[in-house]
Amino acid sequence: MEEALTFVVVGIAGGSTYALLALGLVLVHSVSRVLNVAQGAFGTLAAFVAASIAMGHGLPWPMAVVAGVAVGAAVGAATALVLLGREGGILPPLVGTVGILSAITLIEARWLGGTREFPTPVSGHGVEVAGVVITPTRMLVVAVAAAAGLFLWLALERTRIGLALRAGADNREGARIVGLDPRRLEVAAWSVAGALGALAGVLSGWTTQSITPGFLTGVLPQAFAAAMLGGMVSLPGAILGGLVVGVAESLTRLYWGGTPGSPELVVFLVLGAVLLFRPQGLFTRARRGLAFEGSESLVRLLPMVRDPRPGSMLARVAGPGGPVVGVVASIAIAGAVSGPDAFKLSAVPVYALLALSLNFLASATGQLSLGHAGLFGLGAFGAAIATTSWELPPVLGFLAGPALAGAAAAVLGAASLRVRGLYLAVLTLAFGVVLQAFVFPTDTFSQGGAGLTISRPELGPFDLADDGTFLAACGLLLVVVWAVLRRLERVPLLRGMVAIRENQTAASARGIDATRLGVAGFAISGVLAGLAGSTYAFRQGIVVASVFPVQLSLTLVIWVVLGGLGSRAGVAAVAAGFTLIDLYASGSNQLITLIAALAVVLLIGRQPLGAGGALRTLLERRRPAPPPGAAREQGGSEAAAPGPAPAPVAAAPLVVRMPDREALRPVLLGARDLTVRFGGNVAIDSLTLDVHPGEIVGILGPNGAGKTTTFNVLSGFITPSRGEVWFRGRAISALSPAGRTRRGLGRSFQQGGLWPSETAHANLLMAQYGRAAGTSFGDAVGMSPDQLRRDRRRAAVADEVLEVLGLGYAARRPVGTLPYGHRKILEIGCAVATRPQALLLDEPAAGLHGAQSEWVARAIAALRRELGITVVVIEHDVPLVRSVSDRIYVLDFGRLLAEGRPDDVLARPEVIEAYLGQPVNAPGPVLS
Amino acid sequence: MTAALSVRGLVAGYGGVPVVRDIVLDIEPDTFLAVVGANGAGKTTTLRAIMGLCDVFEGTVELGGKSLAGARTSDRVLAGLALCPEGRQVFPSLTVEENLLTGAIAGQGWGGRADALDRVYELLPRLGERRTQAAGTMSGGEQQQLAVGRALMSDPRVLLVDEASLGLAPVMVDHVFEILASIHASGTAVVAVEQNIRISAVATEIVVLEQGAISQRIPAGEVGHGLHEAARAAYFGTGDS
Repeated sequence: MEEALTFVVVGIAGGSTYALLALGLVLVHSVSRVLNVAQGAFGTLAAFVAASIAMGHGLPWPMAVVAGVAVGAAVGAATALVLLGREGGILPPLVGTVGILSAITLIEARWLGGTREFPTPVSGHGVEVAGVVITPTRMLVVAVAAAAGLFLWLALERTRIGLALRAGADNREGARIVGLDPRRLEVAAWSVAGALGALAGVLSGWTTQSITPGFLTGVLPQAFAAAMLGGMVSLPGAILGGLVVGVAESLTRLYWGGTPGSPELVVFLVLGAVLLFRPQGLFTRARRGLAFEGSESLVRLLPMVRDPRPGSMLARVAGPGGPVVGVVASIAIAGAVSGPDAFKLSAVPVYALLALSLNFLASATGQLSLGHAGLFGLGAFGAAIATTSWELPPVLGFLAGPALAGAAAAVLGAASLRVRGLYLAVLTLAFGVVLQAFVFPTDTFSQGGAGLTISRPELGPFDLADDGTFLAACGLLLVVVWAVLRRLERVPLLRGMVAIRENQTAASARGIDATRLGVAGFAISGVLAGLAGSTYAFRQGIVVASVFPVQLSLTLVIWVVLGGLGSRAGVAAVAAGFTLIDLYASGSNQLITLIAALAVVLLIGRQPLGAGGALRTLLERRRPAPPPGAAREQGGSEAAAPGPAPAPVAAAPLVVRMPDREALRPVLLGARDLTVRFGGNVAIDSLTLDVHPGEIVGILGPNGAGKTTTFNVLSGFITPSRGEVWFRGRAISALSPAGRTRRGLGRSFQQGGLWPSETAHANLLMAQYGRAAGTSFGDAVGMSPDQLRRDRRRAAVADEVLEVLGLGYAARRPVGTLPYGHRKILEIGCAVATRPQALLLDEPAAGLHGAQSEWVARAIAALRRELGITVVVIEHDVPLVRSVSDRIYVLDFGRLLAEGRPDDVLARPEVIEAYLGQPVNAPGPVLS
Repeated sequence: MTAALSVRGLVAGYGGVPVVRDIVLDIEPDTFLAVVGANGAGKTTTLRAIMGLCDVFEGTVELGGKSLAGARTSDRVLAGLALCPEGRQVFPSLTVEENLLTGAIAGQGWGGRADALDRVYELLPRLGERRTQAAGTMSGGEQQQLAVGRALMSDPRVLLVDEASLGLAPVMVDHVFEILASIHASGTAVVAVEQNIRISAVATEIVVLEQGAISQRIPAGEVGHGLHEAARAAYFGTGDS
C-alpha cells in the first residue's frame, strides 16, 4: 500500500510536467487549431539555455530558470509569427512545428553542449507523510507546477488579455467582430504555451537530473493524451489529464515493472479509449462544434483524380511508357554501380516507397499518420519473422511484411471511422510509440535485443545477395508500385476516397459510403509501408527495434509535405534527395538536416502545396484561359452567360408528366407530420408535404423558417424527432443519405456540394460514383472490362455535362479556383449527374444575379422538360421561384404557413407579413 | 458639420467577387438609418465592409472625417464603430458579464468598463439578471440583447446592427427595435440592416438595397404604404413574370 502511495506521488510529480505541456497544447489548439508538435521542444530549449547560463556563467539558478522561460515564450511567439496566418489549412503549421522540433533538437545537440547534468537546486532528505518519503525535488516540481497553473488561471480570469484569449478560443468570428486581432491573440497564446513548455522542461530536468537533446519529444503522446482527456478545450481538464496520465504511468511501472514500454502501452490504451468513446474529453460537456473542430480533413491538396481514359498529353508522358523507362533506368543504374555504392543507393527506393505510402494515405483519405515508422517497422519485422523464425520461402516471407503492416493499418482505418483529423494523428503517434517501445523490444520481435537476422535469397538466375542485383530489384519494385498508384488515380475506388476526404456530406449525397473506403485507404497505405519495411529488412540483413523511432515518422511528414501532398513525383524526389544527402553527406548531416528543417518552416507558409504544387502551378499557366468575363464576375451586370439551358445530359427516358389537376396524382415524394427539435428549439413543427411526379415545387420562407432543415430530413442528413418520409411508394426513413441517392432522390447544396481541390471533370466523375458502381473489389479498382466500359461512359457523361453547362474550359481546373457563379452551376450539374428521379435544389441561385439567375430558372424548367426530373427548390429569390414553380409551400417558424399556386399564395397577407414583418400601421404590441 | 460616418462609392465583397457596389451613405450623429432589402441584397456585406471584415475594392469609409482605409477591425472599434453581427456571435461558454466585457477590450473603455456595464444593465435589465449565466444557455432574444449590449460596451459613436430581428417572434422583434430606438435616443447613431420593414417605425431614414445596390432612399417622414409596396416589389418581384 505504501509502495503504491509512493508511486502515486512519483506519478503526480511526473504528471505535473505533462499537465504543463498539455496546458500549452490546449491553449494553442483553442486559439489556432494547430497541433503543436514543438510544444516539448520549447521546454528542452529552455532547459538547455538555463543550464548553459547557470553553469557557464555562474548565474544563480532562479535567474537562469527565468531566462529559460523567457526564451521559451519568445520562441513560442516567433513560431506563431512565422507559421500562422497564411493560406493552406492546418497541415503546414503542423509540419512547421515538426521542423522547429528538429531544428531545436539539433541546436541543443550541436551548440548547447548535448547531454549534460541538470542539478536540482534543492537538497535534503525530504518529508515523510504516512510512511511515504517525498523528496525535496518532487515537492519543488509539484509546487512550481501548481503555482504556474494558479497563475495562469488567475491571468485568464482576471486580466484583459486573459479574457481576450478565452473569447478567441470560444468563438473566433465573434472575437474578430469585437475587434480582437486574431494575430495578436495567436502570438499571445503561443508565447504563453512557450513559457509553459519551458517550465515543463525545467521541471522534467530537475526530476531526471540530466537533460539530453529533445528529451521531451518522447513524452509527446503523454502530453497529447493529457490534453485529449480534457477534450483539447478545457484547461482544468488538461491539468487533471496530466495528473491522471502521470499516475497511471507510475502505477503501471509498479505493477508491471519488468516489461519495457508498458507505461507507453497504458497511455496508448487510455488515449485510444477516450478518443473512440468520448472524443469530447472526460471533463467537458459535449459542445456542438468546438470539440470536434479538428476532425475534418487535414489536407488541402493538388487535384488527384484523373480521367479514366488514356489520351491526355501528360498521361502519355508518364503513361505506359513511364514504367518501361523506369525499368530500363533501374537496370542501367544497377549495372553501372556496384558494391558499397549499390548498397547505399538501394536505400533510395526504400524510402521513396515509404514516403509514397504516407503520401497515399494523406492524399486519398485526408488523414495524417504520425506513426508510419511503426508500420514500416511491422513490415520489416514481419518479413524477418516469417523468413527467419518461421523459415517460410523468401517470397512468402517478403509478402508477410506488407500483410502484417496492412492488417495493422486496417485497424487504424477502422478507428478512423470514429476519430478523424488531429485526433487520429495523435492516435497514430501513440500507435507508433507503442510499437517502438513495447511491441518491437519483445522477444518475438527482437530476440532479446539482438535483433532478427535475415538473408537475401537467390531468385532463379538472380542472386539478390549481390548489391547491384538487389538495387535493380528495389528499383523494379518502385516502378511496379508507381504504376499501381498511377492506375489507382483512375478508378472509382480512389474517386470515392477522395470524395469522402474532401467533403463527406457531398460524398453521402452522391451515394458514397464511407465505411469500406476508409478502411481500404489505410490498408493500402499500410501494405505500401510494409513493402518498404520488407525491402528494408532484406537490405539490412538484420532488424533491430531502435531504428523505427517517432522521429522517422515526423521526418516522413516533412518529406511528403515538402514534395507536395498528392504529387507522387514531388514526394518521391524529395524522399530520394534527403536519403542521398543522408547517405553521402552524413558528416555534415546535422547541419543539413537543420537547414532542411528551417527551410520547411520558412517555405511551408509560402508554398503550402510543396514542390509538386509549384510544378503544377507552372504547368497550369500553359492551360487555356477561361472565356472572357468568366473570371471577372460583377454582381450580375456582366456575368458570363453560361450557355443555353441544359440539353439532355444523359440518355434518360423522356418522361414528361405535366401536373394535371384532373388526373389521379400519385405522390412521388411525401413527408408526413415531420417534427425536428434541436435541443429545446423546434426547427420543424408537424410539417406535411407532397410532391407529385413531374412537378416543380418551390419552398419559400424567411431565414430560419426551417427550409434547409426540411431538405436535410428529406435527404436523410437529419433524423426527425417524429414523422415519416416516403419516396417512390416506400417509407425511406431508415435509409442513409447515400441509400436515398441511389434510390433516385438527389440533392444539391447551398454551398459546399463540390470537391474544391479536384477538377470540374473529376467532380462530375465523383458525383456519378454511386450510379451503378460495382460492389466487387475488381469493380472498385476498375479491372473488370464491364466496369472499364462504364467508367469510360461516366467520363463521357462528365464531358457532356461540362459542354452543356458551358464550363468546358474548367475541365482541368480545380473547382476551388472557379468563379462563384460557375461553381453554383456546376453544383446543379453534379446533382443532375447522379441521374435522380426527384431533385432537391437548395438555393441554386443564391448570390447570382441577372443573366446567371435567369439561366438557373431556365435550367430548372429544362430538368423537367428534357430529363423528366421532378424538382423541389428552396430559394430566397422569390421572383425566380414564382416563375418556375407549379406549386409553392411557405414555411415560417418551422410550420406550414401556406400552400398553393404561386400567385395565390404570394398575395396572402400572412405570407407578406412573414417576409416584411407586420404592417407598420397595424396595431403592434408596443411600437408607437 | 462632419457626418459621423460617411461611405462613398463603396464596392466590396469576398474572394475577389464584389457583392455590393456604389454604396453611398451619410450618417449624422442623430441618424437612425434602416437599410432594408431581401436576402442576398448585400446588407450584411455593407456592414462588414464598414467594419473591415471583408474585401473592399473601391470607395472610402470615413468616421468623423477620418479615413478608415486599411484600418484593422480593432482600430475601427477604437475609432468609435461597433457591430452587432448577424447570428449574434456571442461567446457561448463565457458568462453574460464576460461577454459584455469582451466588447470593451479593443475600445478605449477598458478603464471605464464598470460604468459601461452599469449603462448596459440599465438599458437591458434582463442581462443584469443573468450576469453569471453562460451565454450559450440563453434564449435567442436574450442572446440578441447580449450582442447589442456587447457592441455598446465600447461606447461607439455609430452602432451597426445586422438583422437583429432574425428568428425572433413578432413580440420580441418589437422589443428589440424599441431597444435600438432608445439607444438612438441616448445619442448614438444607429445603422440597422433589416429584412423586417417594421424597423421603419423607429428609423429616421430608410434605404432600400436591391441586388447589391441602393435602389431607393426614403426619408422617415414619407414612410407609409409606399415603403411596404417598394419592399414587397423588391422581395417578391412584380408578380407578372
